[in-house]
Amino acid sequence: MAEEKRVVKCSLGARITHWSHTICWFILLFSGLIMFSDWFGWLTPVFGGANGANLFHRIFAVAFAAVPLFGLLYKPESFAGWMKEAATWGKDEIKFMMMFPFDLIGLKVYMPPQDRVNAGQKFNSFFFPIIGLLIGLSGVVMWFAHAFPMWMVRLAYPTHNICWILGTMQLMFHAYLGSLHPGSGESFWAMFGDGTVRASWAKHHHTKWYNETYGDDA
Amino acid sequence: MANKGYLVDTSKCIGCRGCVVACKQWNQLPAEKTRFQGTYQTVPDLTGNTLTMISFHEYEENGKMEWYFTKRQCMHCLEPACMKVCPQKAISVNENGAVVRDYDKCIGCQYCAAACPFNVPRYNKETDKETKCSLCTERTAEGELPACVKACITGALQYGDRDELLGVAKKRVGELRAEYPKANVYGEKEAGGTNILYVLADEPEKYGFESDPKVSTAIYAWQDIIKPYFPWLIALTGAVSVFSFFSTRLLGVGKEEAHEGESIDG
Repeated sequence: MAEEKRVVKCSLGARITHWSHTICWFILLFSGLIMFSDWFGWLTPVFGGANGANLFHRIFAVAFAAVPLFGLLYKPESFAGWMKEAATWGKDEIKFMMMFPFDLIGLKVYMPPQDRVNAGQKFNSFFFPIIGLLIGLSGVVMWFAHAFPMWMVRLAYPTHNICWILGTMQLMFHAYLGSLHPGSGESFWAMFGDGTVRASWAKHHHTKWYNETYGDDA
Repeated sequence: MANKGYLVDTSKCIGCRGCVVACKQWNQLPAEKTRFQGTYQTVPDLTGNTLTMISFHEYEENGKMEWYFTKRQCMHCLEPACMKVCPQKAISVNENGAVVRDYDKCIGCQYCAAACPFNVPRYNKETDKETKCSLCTERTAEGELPACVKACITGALQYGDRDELLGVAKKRVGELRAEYPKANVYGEKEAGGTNILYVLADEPEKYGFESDPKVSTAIYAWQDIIKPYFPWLIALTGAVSVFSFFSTRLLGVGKEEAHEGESIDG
């Protein structure tokens, strides 16, 4: 097939933030597991000992927080636009969520037309930032424990745990749905590649967005 | 074996701090450089190098100065919260009931400091470990007294079986009640009971103790619910994803819409 028309789905800022968070999340997860349970003692040498893991955890925690904060300050309108996109819920979004479990296991169901981000991705657009914010705040309290009252420190530990566990739980879905799930290859390479997808794929998976944005010259 | 500990009879303590020096000497801990704060208390708080201290509390009551002082160190809880939260299982209870740490296993995460209802464990920067009193486990194993007890010149510190010491403490409180009506035993039931017992002549707050110390609910939620059960959620979504990977392929999804989208494995 000849070169097909491509459309931009993921902006450079979105890709940089996503990349940095992908790397940070995994390094933070593995270095943090050492501090979660002695089950993960075998991971210790990877970071040069428990103290090394502790250091890695702090360095990448700063990066984890700094990249989106920088993006937020540099292009607040971009973040606002994303949030507005994610906050737009209608019948199609609800239908999508209801039909999603069937689609997930491979049954053929009618999926209503979606925006640039589908209903599941809209859910994640709120889920992950909230998790990120809470894990960051609880992390600050744990790091600088002496500067905070004891009850906050005691609350920070379970909060940090709930956040990484729920975050990693959702990450399993997110990673699978964005890569090996049939039809996801395009968006995977859009996020980790040059940000573009084939126009026909965009039309099929994100119909509403495609028609609004590229509809005229389709 | 029966739980062993010691009794701190504050009514016999003269605040000489011999116990503090003996502790430093036995554990080979350096002195702290501190500034005079207008009190007899030599160190502001326990630190990674100060495992026990005498805390001084001054109050003006009925127009005259009242002075309260007591020894502070690890209480050696019967149900130690620090042991519960330690992710490296570096904390254990020895055959005498003392709560001891394995410094080779400690990674300096300081979870124990947050969990302790008595706010005792302290971080030592030089060693990158969390420290606290071990009830001189290596001395008592050889039949010696803990260093602080051995140094006490007034008999305010008394080492022995917890049950026996409890009897001694209650008897002593009975005697003190005539002059000090609020005299009480501290450590019998506090935070589930501790191996270190106190005879206090007045309310625990006056000595800087909490009257009803408890392990925080947040710590229980963290250790008893979140840690053992929540990780299964990750396994669940992982399993659903694997299931979907195979079921979508078995059901042939994507074959006729291959043009619209392919998975990265083609």
